[in-house]
Amino acid sequence: MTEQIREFDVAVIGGGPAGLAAAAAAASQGAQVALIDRNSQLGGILNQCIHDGFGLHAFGEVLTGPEFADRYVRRATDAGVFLQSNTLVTSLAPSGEIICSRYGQRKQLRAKAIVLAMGCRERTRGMIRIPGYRPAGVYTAGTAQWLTNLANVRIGRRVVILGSGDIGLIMARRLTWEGAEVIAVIEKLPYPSGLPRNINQCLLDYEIPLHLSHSVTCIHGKDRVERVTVSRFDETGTPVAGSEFDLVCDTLLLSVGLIPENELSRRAGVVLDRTTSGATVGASYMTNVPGIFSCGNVLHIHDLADWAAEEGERAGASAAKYAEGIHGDAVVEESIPIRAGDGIRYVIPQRVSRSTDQVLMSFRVTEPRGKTTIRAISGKAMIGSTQLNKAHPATMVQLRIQIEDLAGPVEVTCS
Amino acid sequence: MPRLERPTDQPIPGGGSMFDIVLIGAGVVGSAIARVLSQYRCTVAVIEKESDVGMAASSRNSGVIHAGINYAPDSLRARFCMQGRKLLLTWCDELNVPYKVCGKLIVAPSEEEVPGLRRLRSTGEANGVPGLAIIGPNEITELQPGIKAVAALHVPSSGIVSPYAMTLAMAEEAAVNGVTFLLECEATQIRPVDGGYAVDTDRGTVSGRWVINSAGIHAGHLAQTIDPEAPDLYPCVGEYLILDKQVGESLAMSVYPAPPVGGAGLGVHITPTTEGNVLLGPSDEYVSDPETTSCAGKTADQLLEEAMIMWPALPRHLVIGAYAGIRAKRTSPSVGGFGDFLIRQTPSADRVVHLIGIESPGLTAAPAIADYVVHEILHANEPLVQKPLSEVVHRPWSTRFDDLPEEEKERLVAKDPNYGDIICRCEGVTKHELLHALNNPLGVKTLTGIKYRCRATMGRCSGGYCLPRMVEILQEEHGWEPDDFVLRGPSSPAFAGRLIEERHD
Repeated sequence: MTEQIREFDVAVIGGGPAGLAAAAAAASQGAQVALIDRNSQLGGILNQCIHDGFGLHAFGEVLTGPEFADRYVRRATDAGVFLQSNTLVTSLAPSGEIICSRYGQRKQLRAKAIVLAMGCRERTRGMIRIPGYRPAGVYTAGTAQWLTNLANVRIGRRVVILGSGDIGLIMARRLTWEGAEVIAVIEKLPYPSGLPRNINQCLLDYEIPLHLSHSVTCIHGKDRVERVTVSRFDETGTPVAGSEFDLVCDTLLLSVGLIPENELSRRAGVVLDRTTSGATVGASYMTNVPGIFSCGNVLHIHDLADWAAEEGERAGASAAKYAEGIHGDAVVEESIPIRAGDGIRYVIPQRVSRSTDQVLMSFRVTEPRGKTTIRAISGKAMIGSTQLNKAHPATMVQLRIQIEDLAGPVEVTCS
Repeated sequence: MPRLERPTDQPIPGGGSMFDIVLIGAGVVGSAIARVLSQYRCTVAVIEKESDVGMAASSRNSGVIHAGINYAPDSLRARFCMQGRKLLLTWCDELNVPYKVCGKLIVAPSEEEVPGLRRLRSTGEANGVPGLAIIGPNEITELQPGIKAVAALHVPSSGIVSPYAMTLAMAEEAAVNGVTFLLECEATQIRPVDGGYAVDTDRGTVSGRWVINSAGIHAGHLAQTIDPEAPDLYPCVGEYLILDKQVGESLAMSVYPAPPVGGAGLGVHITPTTEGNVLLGPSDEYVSDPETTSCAGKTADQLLEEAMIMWPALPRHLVIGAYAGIRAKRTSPSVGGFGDFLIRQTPSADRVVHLIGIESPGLTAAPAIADYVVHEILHANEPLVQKPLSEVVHRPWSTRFDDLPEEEKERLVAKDPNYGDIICRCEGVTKHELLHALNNPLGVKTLTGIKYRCRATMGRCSGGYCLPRMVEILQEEHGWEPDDFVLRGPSSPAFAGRLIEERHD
């Protein structure tokens, strides 16, 4: 490493919506910010999302993925962020030292605060252990989206989609438009995992059948997918004998969940939450490692890019303050835990410092519900609540609470 | 239209030309024989029905270097395992193939299994295996934390090797030293002709003065085409689960159960790989289809359950993949257990040599089997002339960039900027390594071939990250068409053509 190590106040790893927003927010507070992204084009997964529906929340407009990304790229550029694309971070030290690699160059940089915004990867066939052969023609929905929208490749002609995650739903419509036959979407849960608007606009509008409480129980075809066996699953998650039927297809798309991509974080000593697979953070989005912050899909999976970007803004602002020496979060040991109670899958942040005056909590319910009351309780005191007409695990819920004299751990419940 | 050259474009050398030796099957044994033969002045053709070498049992096994504790002292398995282990380590050094002598624990979950450990120890000692010791729970924990057992047999000379790297490295070195590999070419019959033997294939006839049948699971019925007394083989599938490299950080050595009596395998074991993953398996189930590589969901659950008896805290949520391989068993389902290796010269045609039932420890034994076949059968019959050392090209396997120290990485990036371009995040594969893999001497261009050569698509995301990058590089910089992307061969196309044909109006 002949060149001098460059120093920054804040380094953001990942240039998707959360990372771009974090970098822009930190830079607009006067911090010297570097953003490192592995792709040639900033914007992360937004670049392959050529459909619209982005920006309704953040801009009150309907934008495509690339348009939405462009807004944040401009913000980051205008704020003076040093943008480094085509560059992969290969290691991160708890002290803030980063080694990265790009064509013709390995380099090191250092920052007072780090924002993790690496996003997520898709759950694969191997992880969910679908029995059968391992032929060509099994793709995760996001990879299929890239191949379709950015590589001009036809992934197959007769497609079954396993999982009703949003990318799978979007791809059902996209592949239909491109002349492929989308035979069915299969979902193991009794309710869809994607957003209700995507069920309507991507499946119902095109008369694509959705089989709830079903899953693929065998993949046939030694060389290329020839058909899949689908079985009905009961309430205990067991396949019902005799319920099997085969669907002839040449392609199986998987939209079976996203996993925050925390290999880099884990090696830097960041403690991960077993439920979210993301870091555990305080109200300022700082992880257990002082100076390392986390936001967007690498922290927890978001349903909207708008939410990921907003979270990025908050984390970026905290990181800039940290670089200035203003620490929003106390060390883990001196914090008060925030827990997911009845009916709640997880809550971000997982802890709050006594010195914090308010905290914005992001969480999800465990199953679909009608009229729902969300309560935040500390000891016997209710410290915040909200009413929802309906709640769905696919839709993130937020609640802001004031923090005064907490009696003990905060628990969020719904009823 | 596909534009890439395919193995089938290469014509079968017919027209009365005769090779000195025709090898059928390019698994680990066939490739080892090819490597030994490539050091002699003789013409060799290797016939392989798949699109690449080592595509069947040779890449679908535990990747364990066996020490020699499981085989009766007079057996060929014992002999070739003991000799093969030594040769394998030498060959790995010569070929730069990753291996590690990490040792193995064979554990007894209860007192009942302890006599089984003693039996293994005495068999091992009779075979000359060094350092065997039966140890108690404290010593077990010292060697490998987290293992639940009352006792274990520690086998320090056992190890792990990358089985596919081994096979590929041997075959590729043989190829650069003049061995002809005929891929996508399936042998159907061996018959005598003037001056030698003809091997009929689906692409024509290849003739040789000698024929060596190392066709793995197909060796039995192929042998019977010229040697009716040759025995049958019984396919027995073994399924494995692959665990994330995160798990590998806490596994120092292989952990085996005491072998099930009369079982077709050695029992479900937990073993690290040279790349840092962990394997669980194999199951054992006799099947009718010798080509089956299907995995059953129930089996996966069983593998996890059995492994967790030995390692209760095994992180079962970190499974990233599965595969299945076929054992070429000489014992039928009703007999069970293991038969011995059979190396048989056809009584009526002694220059047709069959290698039958080379199941476990075939990987460890392969170099010794090759040495035996070449020196004690071929060379003893008609002396082979060794090439001068200066004529033998050395072709070591490439050390993975990701495994190098930082200074070495910087040196390589300065030499070739493509080393800086990391195309596979899970396995840290660089663009240089991708292009090197594609430029292999066997001319293999399948996605699986690329995977085994550089590990792109082999990591935890199964290609979610690197497949798009490979498609981009190969389409834009190397002129590949969608139809050029195949998984394992021409019958497994990855794509169904272009989405939108380019317009030229």
